Amino acid sequence: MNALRTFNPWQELNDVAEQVNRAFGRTPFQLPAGPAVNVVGGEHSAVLTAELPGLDVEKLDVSVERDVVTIRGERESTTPGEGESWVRRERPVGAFERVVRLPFEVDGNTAEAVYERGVLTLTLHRPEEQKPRRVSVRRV
Amino acid sequence: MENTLAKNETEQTACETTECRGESASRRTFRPHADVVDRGGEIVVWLDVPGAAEDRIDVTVEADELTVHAHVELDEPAVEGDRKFQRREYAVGDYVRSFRLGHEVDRDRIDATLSDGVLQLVVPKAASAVSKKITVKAR
Repeated sequence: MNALRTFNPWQELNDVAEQVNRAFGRTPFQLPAGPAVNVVGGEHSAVLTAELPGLDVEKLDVSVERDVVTIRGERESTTPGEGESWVRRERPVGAFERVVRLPFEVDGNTAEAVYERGVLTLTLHRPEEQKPRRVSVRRV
Repeated sequence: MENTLAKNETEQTACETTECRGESASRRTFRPHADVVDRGGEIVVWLDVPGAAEDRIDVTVEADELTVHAHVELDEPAVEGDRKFQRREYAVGDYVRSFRLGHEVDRDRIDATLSDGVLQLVVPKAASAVSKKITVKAR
């Protein structure tokens, strides 16, 4: 043990997590990386899209907290029945989580989420009270 | 960052494929992820084609090669004024993929359904290609 080793609490936590994961035979502690996202927006609103084919909407969870949008979901794996066999298996399955930080706080009340043709589209707005206001200057 | 749902871009552009519907040659095409199951009498193929419309999917069979071309309308949010891409992690384009099925298939009875961006193809094998079980009689 190197006596000069700097104490790094995060490293210690990572080590513990790694040991736990190893004990349970999992790959390093994290959900599979989530979907790629595109975000088009300005100062007051943004549209976020993510390609998520074949999801059960009931298992798709979108939440907004301050300037962070979290998309969680799961795509179930299928098992071939009797007399059936996989020839090819490439489509990713399992749970995922994706966290995206936006340049503004998002108004949860006006946020909209639509799932169509396997594409999730979120329309996000900055709360009215946080938009900058122009102050007219009076000359006295 | 590695994305589990990352798309594989193909070398060809949409207009180098058999059908070009007047789209610009610079459009990108992607090789969709596929699952294939052999059910004995039929082969089932699932392809992830998010964004594709059901009326713009071409499925062709030549000999034992199945080719799927799913056209995707470029329906990106408007970039104008102060609205710009703040993140651009994936590109939108058509999906093209070919499979060698290894069996003769009944191309007239291929069933294709599209649901939530997943294309399912049920491809019946030709009668001659379905292996028959032969009972061995003991004397």
